[in-house]
Amino acid sequence: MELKVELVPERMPVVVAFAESAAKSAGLAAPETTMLALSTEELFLALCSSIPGAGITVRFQDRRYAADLLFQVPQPPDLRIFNITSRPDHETEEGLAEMGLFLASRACDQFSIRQMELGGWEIMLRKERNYPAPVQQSQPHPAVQTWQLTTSPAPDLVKQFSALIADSFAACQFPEEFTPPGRLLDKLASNEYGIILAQGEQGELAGGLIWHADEGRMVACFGPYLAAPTEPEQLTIALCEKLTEQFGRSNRLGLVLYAPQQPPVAAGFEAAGSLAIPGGTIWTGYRMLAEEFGADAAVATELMPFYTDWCSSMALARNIRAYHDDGETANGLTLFATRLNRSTGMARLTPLLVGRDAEAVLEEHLQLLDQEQFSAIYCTVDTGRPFDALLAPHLLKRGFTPRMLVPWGGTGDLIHLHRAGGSR
Amino acid sequence: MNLCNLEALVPQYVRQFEAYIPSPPDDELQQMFGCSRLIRMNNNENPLGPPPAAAAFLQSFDPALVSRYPSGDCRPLRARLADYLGVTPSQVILGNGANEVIAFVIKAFCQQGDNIVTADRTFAVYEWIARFSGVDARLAPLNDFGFDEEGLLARVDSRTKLVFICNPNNPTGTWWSRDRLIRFMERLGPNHIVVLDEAYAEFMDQPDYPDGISLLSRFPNLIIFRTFSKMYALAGLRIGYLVGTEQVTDIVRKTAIVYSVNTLAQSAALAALGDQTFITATRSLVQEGQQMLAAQCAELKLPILTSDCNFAMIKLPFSDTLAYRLLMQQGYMVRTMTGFRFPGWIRVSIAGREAMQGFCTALSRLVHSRTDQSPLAKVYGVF
Repeated sequence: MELKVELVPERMPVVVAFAESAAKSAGLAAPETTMLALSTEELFLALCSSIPGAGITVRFQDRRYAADLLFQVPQPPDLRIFNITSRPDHETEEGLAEMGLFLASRACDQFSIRQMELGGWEIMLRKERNYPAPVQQSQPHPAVQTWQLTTSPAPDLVKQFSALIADSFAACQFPEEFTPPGRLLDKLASNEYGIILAQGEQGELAGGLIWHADEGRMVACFGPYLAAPTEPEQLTIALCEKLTEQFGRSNRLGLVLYAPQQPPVAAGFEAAGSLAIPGGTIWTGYRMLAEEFGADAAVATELMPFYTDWCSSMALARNIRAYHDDGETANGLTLFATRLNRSTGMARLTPLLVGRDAEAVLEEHLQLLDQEQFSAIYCTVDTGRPFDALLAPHLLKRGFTPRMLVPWGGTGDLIHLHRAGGSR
Repeated sequence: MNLCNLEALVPQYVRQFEAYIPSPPDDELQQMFGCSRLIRMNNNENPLGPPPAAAAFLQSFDPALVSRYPSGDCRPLRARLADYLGVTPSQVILGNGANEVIAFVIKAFCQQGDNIVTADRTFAVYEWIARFSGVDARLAPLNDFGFDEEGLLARVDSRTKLVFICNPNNPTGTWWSRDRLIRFMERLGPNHIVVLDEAYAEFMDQPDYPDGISLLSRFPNLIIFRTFSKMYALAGLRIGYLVGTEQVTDIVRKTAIVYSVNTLAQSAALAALGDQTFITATRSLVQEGQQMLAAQCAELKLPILTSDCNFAMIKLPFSDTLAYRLLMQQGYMVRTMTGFRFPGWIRVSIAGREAMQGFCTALSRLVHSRTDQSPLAKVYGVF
């Protein structure tokens, strides 16, 4: 379903009505529908002032667990509005131009912008459905000696698995979207997520893992989460190898595994680092799927020890170029895509553009995130984008530490940095 | 052109497809991985090089000939092949490598909505060409590393045009006997084309390995693929062919690209064909190499799949893609099997004695080095 209109304020009611209808048809309740409609109104007006009169296509995508509105524009809008630190200022003309999307960035579950592969820009507003809390019914998990793997389990088994995760694992070991069971089932139905479960001879749940394949080149994988198998290592290997087999002949370049109970090295995962998240530290593993032929990498001097150590450990062939700030003209501005998870206190900053104002924009973001009490802040830098290297010294100065390397996670390799709340 | 429209022009099945990226030239790889020489053991090439007659032809080739078009339908070579194989020249179609011949057949028989059936862990090109042509590829899991009749038959329906059987199978080296193939053909019936890919047929030295061409009169829905890239070591010239009944090849010829096989390839193939001394020497080299690998794997306690073919598959207790990178640092390039849906396995092409000895040493070093935990990981507080 899509709507084509011009970016003029008079069309705003049409676009908002479209958003409301879309949200309702996706099964969003009234409060979520209102949030999405208000965010749409705010975004549309911001675009009207940024690229007045341009043609825009608004597309609706029902993801079952969420409603997405995709605003496709032919030229880049004023990108400053996408920094969450931009605040509404209606007093002056200048203030209006710099007005940020305050509501959209807070009321929606995901708010992002990307440059489309074949031209144009796409801004996404995602609002997720609310799900009822699970009925607490802890089930005993008998020891399972032999098992069979399934990639298309019955809904009841998925519900059992969701309950197993919630009952038996610490909150830091799984993303909150794996519970309640209704949400997990809807995520699986969206085809962005997948599951591999192991069942014993009587159909009893032995364990499983979940993957999430979004638009990038990596697949994020979680688990394995095991019930009570008699041979946990064998089941871990079986689940991980099935996962690898599924993506072996695909356009994905790698798997990133979070929070396994034991590092599944025998199943082909290499250590990629660890992530400190509220409630604990989790092991992360990496599995390259393709044969790699090496790459050039631009890395800030400050990150060089971490990067070279990990390249050596992972046997990555890299022509590493130390990147210094020699004062050359960079992008005109710095832009972060920010993903917030208020319930876990986690925030992720992804630099889309890095310019001369990087230090100031970063500082603004950190101040805001501190004020809003985010306890764990993550940021990534991409060795395939030389200007990202300019950001690294500012990140380190503000308490970030490199924790994890994901080869080919972006244009080049992604270095994940982490800053615990108050660690500046 | 407005770039936004470009996306709308591209069919969904092409948009979803990721382009295959071949490996860079050796000098670039050597520089990148820091090795002083690189031994390719990833493409199942024949280390002996082309048969002597083909090599002599290539050395004496008159450059003046390249200004002329080649024989558009490879007439002299088809005549020679027909004589050698006991068929008529019109039953033979040549292509720029067997990959092109696969495309001819899929284009000739399939349209959107149709499907092909093959195994999930076999030569990838059947599946790729089908998918980027908008044709569904139905994949039957291997059974005990071999093509599974029941799985294949279960996936066949009225829209199945082609069933691809790789015999022997690349990468497992498993193969169907003549009886098994006949039983399958009888159960499948005449309403679907069966493509028997015999790219490695010349390596096979088993009495009950079937010569698919000999079954054409009994099963006119058979098409047999062969290549000059493997046994005859003409991979760089790109030349392969198919053999079918005239009824079938008359149809495939409609989608075959004429003039796609160059003069050099046609003449070298003519010179190479049927050199039994060369075939015997190659088989002997392969046998010796397979024995060396098997002994090394036994010592390292690594599962291995050997066969008559010029490759073997080895299961590692860690990632095959990591093994690839570490072996590259030692100057050996193998094929990772994750892309064939065999995670943790590598496929190793049989090379000459010295290269095989070097590889066995490198493999041993690699396996021993990975038994220890990474000291670096300990530094960073992870496993």
